[in-house]
Amino acid sequence: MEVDAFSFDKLPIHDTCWSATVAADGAFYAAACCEHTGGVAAYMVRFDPETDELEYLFDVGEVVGEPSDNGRATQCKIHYSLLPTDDGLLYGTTHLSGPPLGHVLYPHWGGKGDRRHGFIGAMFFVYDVNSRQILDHGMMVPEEGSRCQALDEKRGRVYVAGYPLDHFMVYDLNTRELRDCGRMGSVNPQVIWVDPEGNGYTADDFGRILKFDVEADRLVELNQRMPCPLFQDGWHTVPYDVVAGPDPWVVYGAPWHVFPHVFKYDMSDGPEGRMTDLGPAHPDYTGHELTGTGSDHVGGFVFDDDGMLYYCVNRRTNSAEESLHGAGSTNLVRMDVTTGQVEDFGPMQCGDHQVHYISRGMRCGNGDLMFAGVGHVPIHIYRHRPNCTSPGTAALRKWG
Amino acid sequence: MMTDLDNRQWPQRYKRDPERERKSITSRRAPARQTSFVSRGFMLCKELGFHGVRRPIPADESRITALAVASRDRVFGTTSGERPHVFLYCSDPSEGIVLDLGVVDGAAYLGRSIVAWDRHTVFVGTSPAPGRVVKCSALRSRNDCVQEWGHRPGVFEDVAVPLPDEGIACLAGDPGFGRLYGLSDRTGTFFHVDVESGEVSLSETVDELQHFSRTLLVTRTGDVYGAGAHGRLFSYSPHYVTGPEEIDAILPSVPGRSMYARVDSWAEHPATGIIYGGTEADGMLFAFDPTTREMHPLGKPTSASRIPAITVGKDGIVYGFSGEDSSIGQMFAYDPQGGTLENLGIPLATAEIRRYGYEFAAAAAGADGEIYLGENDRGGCLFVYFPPTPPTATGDTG
Repeated sequence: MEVDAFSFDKLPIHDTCWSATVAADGAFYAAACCEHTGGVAAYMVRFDPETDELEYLFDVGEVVGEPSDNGRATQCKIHYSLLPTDDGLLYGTTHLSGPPLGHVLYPHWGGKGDRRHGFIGAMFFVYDVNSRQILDHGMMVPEEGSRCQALDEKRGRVYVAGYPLDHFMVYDLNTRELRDCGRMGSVNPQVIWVDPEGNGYTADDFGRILKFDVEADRLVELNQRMPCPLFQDGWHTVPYDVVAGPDPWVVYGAPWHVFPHVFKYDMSDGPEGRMTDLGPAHPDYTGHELTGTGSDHVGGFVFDDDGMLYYCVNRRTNSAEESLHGAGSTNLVRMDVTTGQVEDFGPMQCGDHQVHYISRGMRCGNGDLMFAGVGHVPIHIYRHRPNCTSPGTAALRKWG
Repeated sequence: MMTDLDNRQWPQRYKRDPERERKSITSRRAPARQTSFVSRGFMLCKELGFHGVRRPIPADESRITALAVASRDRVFGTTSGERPHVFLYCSDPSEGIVLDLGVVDGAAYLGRSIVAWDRHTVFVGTSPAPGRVVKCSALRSRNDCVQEWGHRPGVFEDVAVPLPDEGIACLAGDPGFGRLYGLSDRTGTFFHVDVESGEVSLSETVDELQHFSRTLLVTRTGDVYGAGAHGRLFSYSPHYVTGPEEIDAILPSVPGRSMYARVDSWAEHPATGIIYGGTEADGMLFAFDPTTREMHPLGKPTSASRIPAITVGKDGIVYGFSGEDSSIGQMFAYDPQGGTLENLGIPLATAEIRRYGYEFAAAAAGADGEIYLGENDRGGCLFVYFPPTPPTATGDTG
């Protein structure tokens, strides 16, 4: 499948892109992350789908007041924590893993609490896409990274999965108070999502759905579980990516796991919702393959204007070793969620440039599907233009 | 707002860690990079339930605050949270499950108030007021836990209410003497309960400032130890009728911080009778000799200000956990023979449940050399650590 590729050439050592979203102006915003070089903060980039122009907006470390050369672990990433609002704001919150300037690695666990070298905490900024100004910034989660977030816009709340402690937290944007609901497990969920009422959802280590119930005002465990192959016990079935369907009460997604199954979760079906297994993302895999979470990765869930679900599936090469190091392909897959029919368009590529990994997919204001890539330096983002019969509209996704 | 990216100087990008790739000059060169996790021995993690069969104790009720080994195959524990539970780990190889014996009604917190009386019986102390001493009996289970089994909830029975206006801060016991000892949670009033009759005897407060340590220790001689304000130890001997007496021993602390010093956890060495403990103010490890009444600071296992769990293993090593609330603590080992203190790393289990262990509040030693660690976290689990077998003279590890 031939896609358009756009390279962040002005950021020559930024190495991953985990967070991307479409804001109220219909443009695609991506956080260029720098995990593997000390002393470099994330950088926000805007892509205009009408002009194909890349605009390098700001150094995240500078705008949150934590410059990347201050000797502490850097504000190197925004990890599934870009949240657009209907009125044109864009919230971003940082994540850890980049070492201090001059260091090669950052110890995620060993660095916690180290005031000199450690990550000071997940810091947020508020960017106005209309005025193009930073309106605010501050500390959201001290000493922890923000793995993923979702926005309850009505209440002005952000749901946060912290890292490495893996706590579920609720941040009140009005009072700036952080409420810690406690630990979820050991494997960080990669997405928290919200229903139209503002309830927050994610899953624990065994795929059991956790809901922050806004009426009960607490985190509860639901009697619903994300699907997994019969040969697995459900461990590590934490959600990786989730997108709302044409009915915003129904979401689709996949876990962060080997041999992942695509699922549909109808949050309005009964008090606990209803989970449906839509089958394995790799129907030909037997379960005996030696794989890893990267080689079996599924992400970039996005709906086009005609209601077709797209997602990106990593495929192994014949060499397991190569696959573990990202040498496989990433195929673009389309599912008709009304029939369950799946169409595999094959490896995503742009000429000789092979896509390795897609973290997130978004629909822009003109209907283009944009995908955030990982695995190339400089970072690349990708575009697919579906042949839709419906007019192009932006889909504001209120979670990272 | 945009910086000049065209002229920006970027730091050097390493594709690999040069320190990791460097060839060692001698084969004895220590690895430059260490894992953060316990890398010697083996650790398993038991969910507070029959894993895969029954729902565990709810996540918000599962913070383990106390453990007590009752026999080779029975370990009791208490949790705190929205509702406190008493649980039993059936560690016999044919079982290997945790039974939730039930919720202690009317209690909000059980703290360090657990005494294993025999293989089937445990006493706990409740708070807030009126603090009750509650007996929990675990009924016998049938068969192994593979093909057929039958488990029943615990039977709870109130034994005494030492001070109706206060809760129980901690409980310790001496089955040989038939007594339970405790401190009330507000005034620090020392009391003992005759288990047979339920009769309560009250003494004075152990600390008028009420800065007392929330833990008591009964030694093999039947003496009871605690600590009052400024970390001053007291003892009580059941052979005398008087109450607890201050002794000339003070917990170690950073100079100027003695007013904060409390015993966070402690345990008696079964072979030597030395009491090893950790302080709450500064996270210091200490050894106290009840015979000579000498206190020896042994240093700090980590930079944390607490040592909430400590025990002495069958191998004579003192194992403990150093860490603070909502942070990542580490396990340590102190060898009294060699006088060495070693940070073992962050607990990490890969059997039954794969889980990092960040916060612990209780430790106990098993009869087969295993170390139990009670996780004080949401969704808390019971970790079981099996230390490595010491090398033999031939270099084999057995």
